[in-house]
Amino acid sequence: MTISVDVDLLRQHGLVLLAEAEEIESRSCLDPPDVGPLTAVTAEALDRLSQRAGRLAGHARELADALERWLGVAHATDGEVGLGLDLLTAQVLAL
Amino acid sequence: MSITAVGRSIDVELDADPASCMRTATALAALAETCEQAALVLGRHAQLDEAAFGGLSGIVYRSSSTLLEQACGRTGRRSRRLAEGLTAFAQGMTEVRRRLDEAVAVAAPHLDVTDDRIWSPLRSAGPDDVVTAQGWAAWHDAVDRWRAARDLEEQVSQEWVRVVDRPVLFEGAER
Repeated sequence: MTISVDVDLLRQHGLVLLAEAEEIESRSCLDPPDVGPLTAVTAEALDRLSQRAGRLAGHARELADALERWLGVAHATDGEVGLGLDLLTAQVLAL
Repeated sequence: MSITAVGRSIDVELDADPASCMRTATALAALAETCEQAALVLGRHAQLDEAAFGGLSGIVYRSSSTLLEQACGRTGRRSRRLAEGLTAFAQGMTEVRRRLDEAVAVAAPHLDVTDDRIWSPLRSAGPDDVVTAQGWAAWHDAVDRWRAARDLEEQVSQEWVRVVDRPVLFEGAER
């Protein structure tokens, strides 16, 4: 069985994923504003969004890591066996 | 409250801080832009063709990239909506502050204005009591402006509550 893989392109994808993850995470810290009586409900909404963005960054990193691991295994077994690897973690699939 | 009763007062304090709202709105807009940009990138990854990444793993990779793209899009849209809502809230509260300041401005020459409150005259205006009559006129004017300001404050607050309460499907939609 032959699987066509552009290794350089996939490595580039992994780096881009890591960069996007870092960028999202760096933007995910949101200071709750003073909204008077609505400050608590606002802070709660912002906290939910921050957590969501944090998980998003985590998933992007997991995908990048999975890609890198796959490339490592694929390189080691190149020309020997077909590959049926778990590319992605359960967390990524459960997005 | 009877606005002609003596010894009454109206509160001209504003609880919200529009400046802090604008700072957070700016941060939200930056998060939105970042997520929207990431969604574009992941969308391109999801289009990777078989020649670049074939087999079952390639299929799974494209599928995962699509899921991440969608999640980024949703988070970006949510961030954008909150940013726009908070900006509108800040602008609305700035206008409320302006109207409250107007109430203070019309009251100050004729009435007691202390500790973020405007006080009505302490007695009814008698015949030829021009000063007290001017005080009552200023009081009525200030109360009208104060009511308009508080109505706007309520309207702006309700709109923000609608924005904050919207994400019922936010978490569930990710799955």
